[in-house]
Amino acid sequence: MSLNLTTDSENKMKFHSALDLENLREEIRARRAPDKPCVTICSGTGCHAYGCDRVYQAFVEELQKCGLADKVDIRSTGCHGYCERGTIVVIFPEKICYLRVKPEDVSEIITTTLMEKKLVDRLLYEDSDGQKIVHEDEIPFYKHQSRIVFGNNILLDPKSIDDYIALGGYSALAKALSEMTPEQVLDEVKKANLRGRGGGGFPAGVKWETTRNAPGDVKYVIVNADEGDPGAYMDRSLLEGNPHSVLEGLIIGAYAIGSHQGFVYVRQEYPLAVENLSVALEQALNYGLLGKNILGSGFDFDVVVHRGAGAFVSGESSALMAAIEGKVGEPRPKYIRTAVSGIWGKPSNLNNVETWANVPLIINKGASWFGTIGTEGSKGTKIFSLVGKVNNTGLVEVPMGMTLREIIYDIGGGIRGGKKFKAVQTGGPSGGVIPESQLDLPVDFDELNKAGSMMGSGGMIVMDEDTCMVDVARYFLSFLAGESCGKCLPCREGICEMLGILNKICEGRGSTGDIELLEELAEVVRDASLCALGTTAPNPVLSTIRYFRDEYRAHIEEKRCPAGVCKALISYHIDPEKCQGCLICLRNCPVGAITGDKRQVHVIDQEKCNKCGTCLEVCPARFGAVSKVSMGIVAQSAA
Amino acid sequence: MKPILVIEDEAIMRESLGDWLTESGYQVATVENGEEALKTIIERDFGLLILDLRLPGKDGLSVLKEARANRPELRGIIITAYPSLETAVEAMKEGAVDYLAKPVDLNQLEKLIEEALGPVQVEIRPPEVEKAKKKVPEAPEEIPAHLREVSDRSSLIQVLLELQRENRWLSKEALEWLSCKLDVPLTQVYNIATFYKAFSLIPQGRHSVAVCTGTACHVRGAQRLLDKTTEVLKVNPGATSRDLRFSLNTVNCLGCCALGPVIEIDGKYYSNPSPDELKKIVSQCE
Repeated sequence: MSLNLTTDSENKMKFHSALDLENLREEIRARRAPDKPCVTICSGTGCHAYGCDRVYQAFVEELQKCGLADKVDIRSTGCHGYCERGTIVVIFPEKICYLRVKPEDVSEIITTTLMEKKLVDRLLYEDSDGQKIVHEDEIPFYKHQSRIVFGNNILLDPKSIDDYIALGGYSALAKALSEMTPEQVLDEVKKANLRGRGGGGFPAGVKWETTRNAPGDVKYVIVNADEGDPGAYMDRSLLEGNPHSVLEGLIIGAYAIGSHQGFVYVRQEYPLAVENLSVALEQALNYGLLGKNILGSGFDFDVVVHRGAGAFVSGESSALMAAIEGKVGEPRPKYIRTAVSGIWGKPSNLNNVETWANVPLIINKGASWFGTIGTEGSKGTKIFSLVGKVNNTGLVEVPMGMTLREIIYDIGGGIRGGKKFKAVQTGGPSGGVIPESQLDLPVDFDELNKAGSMMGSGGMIVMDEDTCMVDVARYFLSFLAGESCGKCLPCREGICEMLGILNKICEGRGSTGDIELLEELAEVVRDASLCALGTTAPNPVLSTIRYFRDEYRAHIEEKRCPAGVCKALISYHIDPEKCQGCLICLRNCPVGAITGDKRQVHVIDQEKCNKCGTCLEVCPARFGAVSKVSMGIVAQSAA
Repeated sequence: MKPILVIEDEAIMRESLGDWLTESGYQVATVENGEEALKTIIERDFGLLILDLRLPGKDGLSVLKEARANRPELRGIIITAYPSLETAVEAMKEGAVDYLAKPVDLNQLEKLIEEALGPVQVEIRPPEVEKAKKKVPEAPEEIPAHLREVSDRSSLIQVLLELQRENRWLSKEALEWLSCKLDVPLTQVYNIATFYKAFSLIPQGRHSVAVCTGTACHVRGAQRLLDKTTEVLKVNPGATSRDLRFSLNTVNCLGCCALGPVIEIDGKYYSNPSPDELKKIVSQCE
């Protein structure tokens, strides 16, 4: 990693024209022997959790030991997306893909694959029929994707601008600056009908035009990397894995809009993104892709990174701009859009990370190419964070219009542990749940809205039969209650009131009329709140009521949680027939609620039990003596 | 701009006129009668007199006449509840700018004052406050050298983030110093320091432990992981251990949703560690 960084930053050559850039591209490509073996190791955040840095270190050391250090390149790349199976290692030029690689596997990979040119079978992907798959793009998880935005992540070292340039990077910028007028760039993006990937789906070109035409000479462009939606992390992976693609989009946008100052607002929780982005900015500046007279075009542009400080509402455009000014990140009424009056009252154009990363593609390949991907109203692809109770969790990029079923079953490999699918949650706290009956819904901005949810930034959390929908609604409202800035009353008080009712229901104290009251409150919060945090806050509640009203009723009328999640409504029992008296649960119970002796049936004292579920977890699978039940009032009164 | 002197015997009228003028940005003095007024004029250089016609003792016109005898550049506006043509003419002869009938039309009065004194030059801060602001106290020890020279107000959040990272909390002294240094009101500094989750006004532990409670982690058992962690660390969520070894917090999404439930310990991510694994990781933290 550090090796590439120094070569790049030491390279003080500045481009004075598009031709200079092309010359360097040729030079880098010529320098790189296409047949030289290269080990790429995914270094996304997911793989970091698995210890990819130790795998990288092991490769460095082992190659040294085998005397192969100068014969094999090692590259730590951006996120590959298949986070479920990290650490991912791909060996070039054969593109052999090894999954779940541990440091102890490294020497075998080197001797078997790099030296003897054979495969390490146990590290390959194995499909349901036991077939081994060698190449990454043939694995079902990848096969059904179209990775046009995200694809380069796996090929480049995010800390190397040369890697990006070798893959064609900054050619769109060169094209825009040398062959197109700002108006032409704007028209192309408008024609492509690129819609904002941050959630709202507002056409980016129209927004650009508003800022461009707004009065004033000073204008700002901003990358919104305050990815606050819990369950979504594609912006993080893009910014960490391919920061130059976002930066290139931003510079092109600034040129079209007539802005000379850009900001990137990054969540404080994403330190690696800040680091990689800062390196990228420095490299771009050294090459003259930022700063004065970019590529000899006369266009000047600079970018500043601004770190967030942990507030969900700061992702809202006016709040984000207040934060950049150094003020509290609270939204303001937007009678005048931020596109006209944003940072320090100047016209400011804000787009999400993924939106910016689409821009170079549109400029390079044209709006008509972009238009061939996706649906009528939603063009291009969308990256989703496919997570929750699905087999293949990770980041997936698919054309707009793919159905939920295809995404969850073909790419995601269905539900974990053979459980039954219950719902998928999209759009984060502003979105809603979509039940099984709607699985064939084509995923685009408009269809998701119709189903009572929304695209949001692209979180897709799959839920199975063990997920309680009332608890999910309660979860989101508790999130929103904590994140509401408190400036306007409907949001501050309304969400709290709704949360109170949901807590009551989950604790078995719900009463008739609660559902209707929730619906009524939802209407007020939606209609009267100041910003989108409040106006969309009722969605998780309304959509769960819409599709899972019976589950609410079971909680309220029968005091029963069908999914067995709500603690107050469940209890744990040991089946005397199955219990072997092994003492495992007894020893593990944190509150000493289990009594019994060796080879004697154990019993749970319901008075003492805190329902932590440890007993169920530790009871050996071959006994399966502990069960969780939610009997409800009928059964309880009978007992 | 020179101050205005209001001469009016009726208390309500005198005070409300005084307040209104102050709020409009003028410097104002008020007196009850003519004798007092003449004394005040000698002590201080006024630009304009606003006088009631009927005053106890010397009436308004005589006061204006005497005052202008000493300071011919002094202007006057006469107000009266008993307007008559004679007094009006008299007033103009004595050098009054104008003659207004009670109840006074404030718009008209404002226009007349502007004619006499020119437009208000609003001074947002009285001069004493200006002086106090410039005195920046010496930086407390905890402010790292590279932050001592900050000056850009818009960098406030970034500076606070740095301070939080360096010291693991924001002390009162640090906030007060920053408020002076950046010339941002202390309330605003506190507003920010309490608004964002990243900041803490009490010392945080040497090791930060964060359990992700994002949606993906939630549906895969984040609560169980949080319970386990609470038990292993013997620290409640949101709290810090007494020996300042650990702080346990929940975070809304760490952005590695595919591995949920996830815990972050000192910047390293772990996917659903078992209680034993947790104990092992924790034991390595000093």
